[in-house]
Amino acid sequence: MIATILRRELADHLTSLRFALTLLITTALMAVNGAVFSGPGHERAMERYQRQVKGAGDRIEGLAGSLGELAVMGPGSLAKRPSPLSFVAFGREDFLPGTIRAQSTGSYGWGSGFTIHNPWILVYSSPVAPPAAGIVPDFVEVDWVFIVGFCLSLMALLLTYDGVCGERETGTLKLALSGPVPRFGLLLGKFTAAWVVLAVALTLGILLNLLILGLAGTLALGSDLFLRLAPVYLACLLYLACFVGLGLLVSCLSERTSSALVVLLLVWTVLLVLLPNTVSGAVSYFQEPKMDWGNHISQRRALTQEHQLWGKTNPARPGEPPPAAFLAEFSDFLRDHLRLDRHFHEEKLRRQLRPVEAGALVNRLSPYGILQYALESLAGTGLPRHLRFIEDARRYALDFRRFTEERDQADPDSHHLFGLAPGLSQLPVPLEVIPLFRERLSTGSVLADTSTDLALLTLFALLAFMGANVAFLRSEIA
Amino acid sequence: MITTIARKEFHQALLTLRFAVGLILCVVAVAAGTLAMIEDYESRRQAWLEQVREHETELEQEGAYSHLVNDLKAFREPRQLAVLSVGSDRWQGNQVTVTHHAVPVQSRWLGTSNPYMVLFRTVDLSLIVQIVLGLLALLFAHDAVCGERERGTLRLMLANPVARDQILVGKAAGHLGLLAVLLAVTYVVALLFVQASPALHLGAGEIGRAVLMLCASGLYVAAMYAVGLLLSICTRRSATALVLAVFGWLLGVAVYPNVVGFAVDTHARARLSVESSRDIEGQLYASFGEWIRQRESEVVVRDWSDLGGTYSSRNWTVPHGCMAIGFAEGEAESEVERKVRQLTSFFVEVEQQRMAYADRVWREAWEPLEVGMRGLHAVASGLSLLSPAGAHGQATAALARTDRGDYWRFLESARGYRGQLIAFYEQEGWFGSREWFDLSAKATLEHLPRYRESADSIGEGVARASAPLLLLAGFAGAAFMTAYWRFRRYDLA
Repeated sequence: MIATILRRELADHLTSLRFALTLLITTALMAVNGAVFSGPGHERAMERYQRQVKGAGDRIEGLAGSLGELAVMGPGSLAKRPSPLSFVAFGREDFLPGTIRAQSTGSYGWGSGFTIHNPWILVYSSPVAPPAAGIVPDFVEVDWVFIVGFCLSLMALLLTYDGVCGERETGTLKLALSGPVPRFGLLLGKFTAAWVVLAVALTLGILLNLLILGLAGTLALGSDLFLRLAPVYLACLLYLACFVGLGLLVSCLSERTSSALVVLLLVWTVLLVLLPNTVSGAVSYFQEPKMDWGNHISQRRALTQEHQLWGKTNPARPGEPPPAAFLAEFSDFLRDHLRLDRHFHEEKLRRQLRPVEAGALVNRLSPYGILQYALESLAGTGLPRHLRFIEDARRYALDFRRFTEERDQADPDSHHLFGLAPGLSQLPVPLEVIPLFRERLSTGSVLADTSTDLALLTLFALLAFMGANVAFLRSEIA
Repeated sequence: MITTIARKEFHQALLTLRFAVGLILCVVAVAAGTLAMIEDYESRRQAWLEQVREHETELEQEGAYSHLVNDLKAFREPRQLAVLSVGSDRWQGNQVTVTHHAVPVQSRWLGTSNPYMVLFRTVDLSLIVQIVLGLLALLFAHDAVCGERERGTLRLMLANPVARDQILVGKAAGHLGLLAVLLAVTYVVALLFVQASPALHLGAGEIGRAVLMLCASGLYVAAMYAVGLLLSICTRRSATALVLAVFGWLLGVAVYPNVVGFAVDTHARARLSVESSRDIEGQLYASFGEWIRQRESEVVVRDWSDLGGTYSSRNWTVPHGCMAIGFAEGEAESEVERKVRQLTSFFVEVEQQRMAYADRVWREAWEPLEVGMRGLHAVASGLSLLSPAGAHGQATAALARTDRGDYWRFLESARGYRGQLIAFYEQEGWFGSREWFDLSAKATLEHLPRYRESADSIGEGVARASAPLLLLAGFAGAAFMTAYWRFRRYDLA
């Protein structure tokens, strides 16, 4: 019997104007997305990335002649691999910094050919506007997040707002309930039908999109891709289920169809426009004052004074390495210097990211925020990816430092003096043992990160459907 | 008769759920949105103030003139009315360095105290009007005619001695009156928040601009209403009209402007290559380096080391380089004088050449890029004018001075400032003075011209906003006239 209802609802939906409009907007936008993203953008980004990786490799090769040099100058800049799935979620990737520097910048000359380098640490650059920014006023990228999150959710509401109250108005509800179908079954039929119809539009849109991208050669269709797109598809479906449930809930609660739609539009605007866009104001509470660079410089200067380095001269004759006792004093200084510098840069980044992370959390009060975060995480773009990138860079920095220290410990000729090339092992390092920066991009870990969001979406959808069910059970069919 | 109908429609609409919901949504959205925008503005203003202050201290510490002229900057103050219509204000750079040896080109400094906040979008008053009031106008209009026909009241009304056009005009007047009230409330709430914030002080000019923005919003709402009315007349059932209205709103307000922005932006990113401009610049400066090295060996003392001090030749052959020479202590007075004479005449020539190269770099590397950007901007704004929401956004941004046109105005005035500086240097004979390169000199800042943003008159904003405004008015008029014409031949059955 439920099957009959489902079949009837499906037939109704599939022949309706709304379904035609849904299909139209989904396929049109997916085609736009495919057309725009099949441009050379990703290829260029990959080229830039390869260049950066090669540059870092060459730099390490140049330094590998002596472990001391390598340990002092650091591994160079660490590049973020551009995501091939940015068409799923763009995530403002073009604003976010694509590299983290892990190399010594700046040096002090200490007279008589003796130079010390600032110890290498991770230096995080801030987001900057891409060159073309501002040519057009702020817009939302037409990625899957927008198409599904914004357009299809509204279409879901349009498909369901009169599901119950419309039938009540026309009187057909009474008729349907006079049969042997329980109310729950009727509602489930309506829910499933609307969901299936949306899924049809979504699937067709996605297939068209992938077809365009595949034909343009932008996308290498492989099993890994489908492994990643499957959870994306699932997240989209769960998200749409939330709105189908919401539409039915309001439809059960309201007397008239027009008021149901007005209320739904209100809820939709609050969830999709108001909440995500005013978060930046709400998180200002977490905003801490910027780190003061001038203060940092004076702290550095104070450190030099504290270590009483002024006036020290290199006792070695030209051509000879400086004696270990002389170097040791500088090594202590450099260790403190490193601590100071690292604290400054880490604290600066922490202060910048704290309100942003809080904002991302607040954003997830709305299903749209959850969908966005989940899709960005799966596609490897935006904030979730950037946070992973930073974490990977930190882990790598630890590895690299440990590697240089261990090798230095193994060399009996070394003075083991931190931060100074002549104070460390002078042995060459074979290239194959030097750790290289690799991001951990495995699908498994990404999926684990997204599971919370998927669970949240499921919860939202279930809540909406159960709410609709309760409202329908209690409603009077006058 | 029209007034009776208008009054009836006004009161009827006033009591509807959609009005109540619309009012609440407008007030809440504007309050939350404006607060977020004020926060954003304050952060950008803070960063701007810091930069200006830093710039001043930097200048005071300068020694030789040739150092000083490297660090003069022009700043674009964040616009106060960005809290009402942010336009492109959050994205375009706000600071350029103005030197005689480089023509200022676009800057990428985001100018906010926490650049990561770009990950969050903001919603300003202009967007709220587009989304909420646009939707509300459509909701009021969609069943104005077909709803009454369905209920049968239209026939009743026409049985009275009223002309059809009176009914239509009366209905529109009543609804638009109510929408105008809503619009005014929205603007007043936003302005109350603005006035209450300590960081913002709107002057008379800015209030005038805000009033003009209100007029633009009024036109937009009227245009959306007219479209809704047309839909109501062209469809037989109000449910169909509603679905079409909501869909049209989604398409016109949310989808189309974003699709245009997205497509043009991606195209711009692929087509405008900053790298190639930078390459051309690099080549030109390399040839300048060649020239200067040759000149150096021809004109000036061969053995530069006898100048002593901290001179390093790398310093000034690079394009943005400058030169500072400390004379060795105890050098004979006459010897120093001879070197100074030699150097001053050399630098007059070098700086002239430097400026000539700067102009060439601008013409060959950067101007084409900017022309390309302007072209793409024209395409994008032309395309987005096709949607009333796009036109409204452009008009309010132009009135608030947050549009791209204002940014180009800033770059142009920075270039004007460069001309002013060069004239000043030449008039004061800085290039030919010893202070130009002498490390022991102390630059005096007193007479140095500083960058002042010329306040642009409201007229200029109106001129930039005129095209979208006219288009909105034309759109509203055309839609309304079509509705009017169709309604005269409307089939009541």
